[in-house]
Amino acid sequence: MFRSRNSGRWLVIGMQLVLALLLLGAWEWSARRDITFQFFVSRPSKIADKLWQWITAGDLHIHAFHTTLETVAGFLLGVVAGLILALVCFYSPLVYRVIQPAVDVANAMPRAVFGPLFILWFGLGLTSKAMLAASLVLFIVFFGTLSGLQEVEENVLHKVRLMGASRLDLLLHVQLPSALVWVFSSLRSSVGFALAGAVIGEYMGAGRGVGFQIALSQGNLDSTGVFAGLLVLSMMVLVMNGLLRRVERLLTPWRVS
Amino acid sequence: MQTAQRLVAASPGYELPAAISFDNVSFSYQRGDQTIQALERVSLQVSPGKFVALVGPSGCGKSTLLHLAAGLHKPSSGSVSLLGQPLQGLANEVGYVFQSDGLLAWKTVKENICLPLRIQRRPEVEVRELVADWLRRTGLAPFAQAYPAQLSGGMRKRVALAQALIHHPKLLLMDEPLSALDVHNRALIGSELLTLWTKQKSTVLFVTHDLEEAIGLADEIVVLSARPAQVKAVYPIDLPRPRNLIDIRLSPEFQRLYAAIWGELRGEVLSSCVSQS
Repeated sequence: MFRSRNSGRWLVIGMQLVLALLLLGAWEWSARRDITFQFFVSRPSKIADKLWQWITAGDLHIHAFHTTLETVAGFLLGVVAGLILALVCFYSPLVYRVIQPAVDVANAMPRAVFGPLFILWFGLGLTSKAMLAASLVLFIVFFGTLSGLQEVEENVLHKVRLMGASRLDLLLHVQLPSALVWVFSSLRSSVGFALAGAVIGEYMGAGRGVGFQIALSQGNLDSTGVFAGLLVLSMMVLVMNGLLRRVERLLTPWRVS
Repeated sequence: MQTAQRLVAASPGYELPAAISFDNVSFSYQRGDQTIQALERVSLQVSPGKFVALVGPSGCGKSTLLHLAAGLHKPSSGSVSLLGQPLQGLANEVGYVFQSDGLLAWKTVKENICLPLRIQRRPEVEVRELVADWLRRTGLAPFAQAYPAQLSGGMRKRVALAQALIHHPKLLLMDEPLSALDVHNRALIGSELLTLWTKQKSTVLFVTHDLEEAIGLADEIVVLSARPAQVKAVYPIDLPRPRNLIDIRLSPEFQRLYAAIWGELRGEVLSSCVSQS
């Protein structure tokens, strides 16, 4: 039994550290003993070196910044587009029935295949990455918002209508918040998708960004660089998740933890 | 006791119109390729300020009657009038409370309560005054900034009541509002409802399947038959007010009423069980 939640928490963190050190140690040791091929799997000390090189060269933060920017732009674009599309389909079931097959096909399609097209259309810069990220986020938001709009308890709608609400009142006080609840509560997974979209886009063609660095290292058959890039991405994900948890708490104060 | 038409005579030759009046109302709807006859030639008059409970077997069309009174459905034939005016479209000045609390999860207690006032674009000063008053009257003041998910079921029901009453609706429609609560809360919130209603004097249509609850609360009980629902009998409940919902069921008068109305209701409940099986 833990005396308090806090001591339990430190125990978990301690065990996580031990596990990480064990794995890294085994990795380093096996590579130095030539049990594994360094060419393919590199080793932690070389990866740390590489990371240090990137940091001292002074362009790591530029790459990370651009990936973040693409992620955020793609996320916002996807949310707005998903919301609008969901509203249109909600108010016009005819439109939804007409476009439903297209929506389903587009959603089922692996988005990576659009990468080359987007780069062709929108260039090597931020736009193509944001679009790719948005194309992933859009569907999550679309389906969530649509069910959020449709699944408001009928009695609640009756009640608010009987208060004298117009269609706009109903949308603003009931339907839209109900849909946004869903968007907010799936914030972390949507941003995760946006990041994946941005990195895939960079990987396919870009001049900067973490995905670009990974692609560059891969081009040089430099597994150390690939691992260093992955490490940078992991750090970004950790930081983003931490921040998003706070944002979530701010945006959805009614959720009791 | 058939269809007690107890209209208040203001002066000879002039009768105050009923708060709500159903005249030969029938209602049917489609389910799949079946036509379901929910109500058949229901006639019912409710005087202003009365608390009327509708009892009847489950699924007999009690809720449909409320929806018709609110204008959420249109009768297939017959007509519904509010204060003598035939109802067209949605009724206004109606409060609606139903089984789930139906609160907006993303609004605080205070925001939920003042929603009707916001929708009606009342001036800010008035909103602030009314909300403070209702928070006090329902004992919710300490929870004004809480969200519904942080409250108990009884508290949430208080919020729903305040939300339904704050804009002073002439008609209050209640669809089994207390049935999701535990026994103690049911009596407690029921008593609070009576206190709030006594000050307000809205006309209440209260649907319930709990006869004890109906007798404790209402001025008049309307017994509906199994589907298609018809008005089977109307019983005035002349137990003195204010009533204590916890002790009232021990009084001989209550027991007498219960036995009489249950005798009427029993056959309908049984026949609806037979037709459903």
